[in-house]
Amino acid sequence: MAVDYLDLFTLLAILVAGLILAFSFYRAIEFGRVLVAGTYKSRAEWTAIFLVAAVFLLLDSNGLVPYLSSVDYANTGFVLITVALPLFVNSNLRTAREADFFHRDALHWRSLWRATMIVVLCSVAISGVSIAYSPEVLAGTSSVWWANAGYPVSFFVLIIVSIYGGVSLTVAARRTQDQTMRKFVRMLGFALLGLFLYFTVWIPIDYFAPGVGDALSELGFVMAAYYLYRAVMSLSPLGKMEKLEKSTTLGSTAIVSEAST
Amino acid sequence: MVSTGVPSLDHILGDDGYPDRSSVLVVGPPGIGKEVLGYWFVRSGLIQGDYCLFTTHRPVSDILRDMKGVGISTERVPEWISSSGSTVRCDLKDATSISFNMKEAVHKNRDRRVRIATDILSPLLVLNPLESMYSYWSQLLSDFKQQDAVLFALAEDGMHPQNTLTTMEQLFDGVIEMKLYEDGLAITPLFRVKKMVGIPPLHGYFRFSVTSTGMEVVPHGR
Repeated sequence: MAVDYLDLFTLLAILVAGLILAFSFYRAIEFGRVLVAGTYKSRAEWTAIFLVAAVFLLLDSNGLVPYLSSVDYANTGFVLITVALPLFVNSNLRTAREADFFHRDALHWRSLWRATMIVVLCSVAISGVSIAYSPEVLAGTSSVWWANAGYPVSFFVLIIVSIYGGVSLTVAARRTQDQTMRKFVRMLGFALLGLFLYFTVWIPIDYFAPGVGDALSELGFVMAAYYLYRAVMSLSPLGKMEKLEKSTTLGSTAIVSEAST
Repeated sequence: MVSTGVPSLDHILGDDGYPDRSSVLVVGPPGIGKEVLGYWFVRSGLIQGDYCLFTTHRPVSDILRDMKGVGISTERVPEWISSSGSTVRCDLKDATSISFNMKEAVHKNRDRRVRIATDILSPLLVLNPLESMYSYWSQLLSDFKQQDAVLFALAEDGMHPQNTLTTMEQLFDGVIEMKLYEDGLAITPLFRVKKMVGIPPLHGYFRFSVTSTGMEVVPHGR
């Protein structure tokens, strides 16, 4: 029996990315448990929820999660990420605003975020109704004009909210003196780049070598998962317990030897 | 001695709390719970009838929301110098007026014991040169020491170069450090008393947890 190395590679990449995301989720929950200030706690919790959405996106873009309907764009991961992304960005911007000594509202996000959320939820509803009413919109063969217009709405809203959220977050991070917040946003940027590669790299490669691009694009998701993990680890500065215990032991030894001499 | 408002921390500090006429600096990353120590310190003062002053760069509404969030009653509140929601405003760009307002409030209450909690140290350190801030705080602390006052200040870890914090730590009578540690798969919040005037050096670390009923501090050890 011949082994399909491309399939094996894809499966391995999905597994690695999934494991990294699952561990990141665990770490985010841990941060949420130990952080005390409400804004920081809620930021860690929304990060955990965002990671769940990312896991769903990974699984269902590889056909491993049952569709909500029979179409790609209405699948679980896409719906979850569309709703979770603005909430995740909002929790980070609230934290950045608190960390900024002048509590400035980056690009009016605070004033506009409720409206943003209403637009996001409406877009998901419009897309859902369009697809449910006329599934042929996906093939571009529907004769229902409003369904044709409604289907891509949530996709465009997601892009616009991502750009608006990303820019606001960058502005907010640059305003704060908190180095971990800056690192967090930098890591999110790399994760976004990974996702961009995941969604685009297969297109040119598959043109020349069918199947190869699909497999290689999974590396983009592994990259995104890795940088999401790094972002989670930047939620707050962390010391190493082993180092601490070693230094404490050394300290005690030094005290004992000093006393004995 | 002045109670910290956290019985287990009072116990660690020799059953009494912070020394009289002292200044205590709590250093830790944002969100770890430094403020909660300050809230309990002020709350304890309000119960005992001390004059309490809270100087903050945050709006009063945010502080009250946080206090409620950790189970601290807001029936009695301190006097505020804050960015909004108080009669006396805290303008970070005008450090002189902040110190003037703080001193004035303390002088007006010279017949009572005074507790001051503040989170303006980090923003002022970011906005002003270290040298000027060193003399600014040095003067402020010595002024408060003339009266029966205890000052509790917070400093954000990860926002200043290490030498800046080390320099500022020298000015304070007590320094408490709070930090998160990666302990295998878990994350453990620990703190240590780096120094505290009037009590023997405390070696070792303490675990702390914040619940809706208060703050618990226990020695960390395996």
